[in-house]
Amino acid sequence: MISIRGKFYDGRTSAEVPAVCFFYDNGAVTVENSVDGCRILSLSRFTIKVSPRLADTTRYLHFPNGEKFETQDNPNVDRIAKRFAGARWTDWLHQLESRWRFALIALAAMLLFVWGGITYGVPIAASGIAHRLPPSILHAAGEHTLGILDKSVLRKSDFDLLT
Amino acid sequence: MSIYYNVVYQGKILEGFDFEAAKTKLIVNFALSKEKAEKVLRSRRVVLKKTVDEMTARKLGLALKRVGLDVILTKGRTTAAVQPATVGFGPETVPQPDKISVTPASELTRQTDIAASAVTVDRTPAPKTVVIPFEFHGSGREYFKIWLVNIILTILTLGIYSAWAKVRHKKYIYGSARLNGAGFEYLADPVKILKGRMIAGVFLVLYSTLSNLFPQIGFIFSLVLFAAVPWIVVRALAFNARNSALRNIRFGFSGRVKDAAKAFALWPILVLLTLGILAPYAYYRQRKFIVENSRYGTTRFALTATARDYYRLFLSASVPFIIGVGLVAAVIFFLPLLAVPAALALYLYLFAFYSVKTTNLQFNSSQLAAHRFKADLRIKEYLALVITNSLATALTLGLFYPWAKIRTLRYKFSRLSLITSGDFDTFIAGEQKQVGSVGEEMSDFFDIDIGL
Repeated sequence: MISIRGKFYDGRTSAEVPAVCFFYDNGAVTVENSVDGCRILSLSRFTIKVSPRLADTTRYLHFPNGEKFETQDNPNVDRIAKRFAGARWTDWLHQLESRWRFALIALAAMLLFVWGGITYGVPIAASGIAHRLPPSILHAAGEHTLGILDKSVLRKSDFDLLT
Repeated sequence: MSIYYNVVYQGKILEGFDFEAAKTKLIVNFALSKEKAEKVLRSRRVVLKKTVDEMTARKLGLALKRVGLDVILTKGRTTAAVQPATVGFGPETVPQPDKISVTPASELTRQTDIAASAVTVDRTPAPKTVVIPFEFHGSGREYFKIWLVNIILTILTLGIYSAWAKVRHKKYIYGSARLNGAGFEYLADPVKILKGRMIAGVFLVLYSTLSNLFPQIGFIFSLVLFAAVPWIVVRALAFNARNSALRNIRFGFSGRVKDAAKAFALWPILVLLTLGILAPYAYYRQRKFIVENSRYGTTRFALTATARDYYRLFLSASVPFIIGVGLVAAVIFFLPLLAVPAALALYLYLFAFYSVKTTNLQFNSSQLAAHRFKADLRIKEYLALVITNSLATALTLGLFYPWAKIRTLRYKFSRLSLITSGDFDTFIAGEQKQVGSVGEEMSDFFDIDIGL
């Protein structure tokens, strides 16, 4: 059995109840008021949605009828999530986000990507787009560009047409 | 000489009730017209029934409290006969519609002044006031790693992961903030965000491609986008509020597109037409629209600031602005090499001044039922934070950004408190409507600043 201390909210009002959540080996769950020991809720099976681990932020256990249990006890929430909810891809994300080694690899990859993008990516993309565009669009774009240049930058030539 | 009573509405809706519900009940239970019910609810303080006997006043007071109106009874003396009891409990014996009269409270004051014995009958003790500081437990180191992983996974998945990145970033910020030990929670579904992003992205690509190739079509797109701004604002605010929760009660936003159009399109146009004279008023209307349409459960927030407060704020900003511009002009004239740093320093100072003053005013004049907020940001401290954050971010080519964000949030939360008056346990969950994320993502893509 695993017990986790936290706060219980019924989802209908903002009333806060200090509570303890008990997780039994067969998947049953009970929530008790930690002050008077009264049982608040019980489930025969583990039908709780556990919020994914994200650094050391508050964790939430969402019950099927809208109730919520809130706790800071991340290690125990991880234990019950692993045991009853199985492995999730967000656990892998947490591993990535919590280790400096992965963070530094991500940083190196990002810098590499930025450098590669500027050095090779932009010319390749420009060339690919230019070759795939239909001639009519290129023609229209050229006309528009010349029109804008005529209006804004260029002026009539001083040279005689024959020279 | 006999004693009479007045039933006075104090301009507040009781906790657990909202404007619309109270209005409907006033219309149904008291057979008021829609206009009259709205007039009563929007009034600051009005006498709903005057010069009645104690029993009548108590019964009417109770009936009004049941529909959500915060009423009190006031007492006076008169030589005239008071009205007999005509009201009772419950829907079948509620007061007759023609028996509710609306009198400005100023008139009541005159009456009671004459009587010289006005007293409030409400004998419930004043609720205890408790100051609860907001807490923020985020760390720059943690956020830096989350930020890096978000970027790299977004690149590797060609942008698809950006929706999950957004949720993870918001969950971290929300999850690090606490009020009286209770954490804030961000509940948005990344798949919905991804769909919203795809729609907004297609619109953006069409807009930029067509604007470049065919300026006329681009102009039409711009008009469409401008016309859609109010809808985008409402949807973005609703999506964000709907997916935010505290103590398992979600926030909400119920602003109408029509009102958003006034606040975010009509008033800005009038600001242009009046050469900026109406700018403080337009800003005030936008704040009012956002705050007063926001809810916690079924309870609406209220903004007590007036247009005059915002004019005073903008005028106070003009003094450092004029002095700063003068100083920068002098630097440009005498020390041209220092022109750019001087202009930058002026910009940062004005940014800090404006941020601090508007944040303080907005929070200090916001209420949630009887609970108030207190913001005490200081210009010098915030300016130091902005300068160090900007320098460090520039020197590290942007890598300091996560620390800058966390430092700013930590400072803001450290200067923010909730002053509770009475019980914070009685907020009631509202009806849960699903809100699409297209508006939120359009506001992200087109960088429409709603200024929350």
